[in-house]
Amino acid sequence: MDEAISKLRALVLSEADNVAILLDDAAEGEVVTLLDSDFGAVGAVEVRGPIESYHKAAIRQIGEGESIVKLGERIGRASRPIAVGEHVHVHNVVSARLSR
Amino acid sequence: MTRGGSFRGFRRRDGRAGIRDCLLVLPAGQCANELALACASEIPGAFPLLHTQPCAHLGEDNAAARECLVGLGRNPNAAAVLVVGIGCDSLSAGGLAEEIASTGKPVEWLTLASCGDWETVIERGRAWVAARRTETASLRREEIPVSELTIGVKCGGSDSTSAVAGNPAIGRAVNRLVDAGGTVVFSETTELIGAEHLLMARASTPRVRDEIETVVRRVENSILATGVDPRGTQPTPGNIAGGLTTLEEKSLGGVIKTGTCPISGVFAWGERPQGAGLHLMDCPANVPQLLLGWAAAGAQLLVFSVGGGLPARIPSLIGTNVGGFPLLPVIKILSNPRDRDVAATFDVNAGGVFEGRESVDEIATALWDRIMATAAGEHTYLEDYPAPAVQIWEMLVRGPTI
Repeated sequence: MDEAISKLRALVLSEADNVAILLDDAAEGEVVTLLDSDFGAVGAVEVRGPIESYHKAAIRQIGEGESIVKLGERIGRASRPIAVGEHVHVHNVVSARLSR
Repeated sequence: MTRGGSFRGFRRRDGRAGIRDCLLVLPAGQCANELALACASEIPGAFPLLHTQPCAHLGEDNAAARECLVGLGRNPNAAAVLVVGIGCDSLSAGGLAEEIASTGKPVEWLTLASCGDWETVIERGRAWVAARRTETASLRREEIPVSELTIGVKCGGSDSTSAVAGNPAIGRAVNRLVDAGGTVVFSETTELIGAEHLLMARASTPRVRDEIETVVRRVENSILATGVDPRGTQPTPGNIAGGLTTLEEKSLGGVIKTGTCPISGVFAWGERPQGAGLHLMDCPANVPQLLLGWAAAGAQLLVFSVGGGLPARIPSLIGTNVGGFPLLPVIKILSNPRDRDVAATFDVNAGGVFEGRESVDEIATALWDRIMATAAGEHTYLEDYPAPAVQIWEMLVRGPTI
């Protein structure tokens, strides 16, 4: 891992995922290093807005209605477009199963 | 040594193996709760299992409650069972005792009707329990193959750390126990919604596959039929604060604790799994009902995965107001490293996975060792927790209360 890039880290649990789990709290504009599940660096993302550790950040552009993929599986769909680095949570994701 | 090893447990007369010597005092119905409490009070090892079975349920719920109570009495962690009733209960104390007695363990029943007055029930009940205390003190543990273990697996207070640390470690321990010929029961049907396709793909037969689909669809339809948006309940406010966004995300993380082995069967709350391997017990994600269900299914211990945040800071058993459940020792495992200051209230701490200090395999090994030690008699954190409260355990009700 390149210390020059960032000490902040985020886990990408599966290659198919479009979100990463932050391991550290990140502030607006900070860069987080993306790690695979073996803690090897696989990239970096600039965070948009503060994101609490263990919450999700988008690592790809996600269009409205598109699936949010974590652990290689769909965990819901975007209720509005989500930019790379944005916090992905209840304000922009709905369940694909139980919401009417 | 047998495949997978062995532990030192109590061999019961029906051939099953217990890991604790619980003197169970079981009310036939909720009117007898006070009698059960009085019969067990201050007798070491005596557990008054108070519950909510009323006279206001219909056939199907009464039948399930009957199976559950008989299953609790038959649980191999119960060395002896006293059933107490009023005499006009919806389930008869004598009938329950007779079915439990088929295990060959010491069983007695007393009712207000059979004893004549309230004080006599308590006097006779206490004398009977105290005499069993003396007998069980002389029971000795012997080598029992690991294949005779039945464990429950559950998660609670889940956050986004659960799916990465505690649950994968539990999953590996589940695979190991199933490989050794043991039995594992998972449940919480509501929290399978969105992950059922992964479970269906692991069903050992097409019938099991259909049964998994049926129970998940039933609970999903029952939620949709209310017209109520379940967000805020599933996931819970605690789950959301911990980074979990949707029920599917919670479910996908939750099923990781079931490992990767085939799923051998599906059974209803109150019943027992048929054969060894991994089984699904159909029950909502409600701790008191789940604990009754697991114990009635014959589980000897439960592994409880906790994420972090406020739920992790409840030292007692989450979802209840008491420490443990003496019939079913509970091993608590913590995932979130931010809660390391309360790690002493857990039996296993998986938080090191996030700090790159420990691997999931190392935690899985630590958990396996803890399961074996617990089976051999070592107390879990909750078994020594000085709970100030008494829990009245909730029976599962599917039909109307009339």
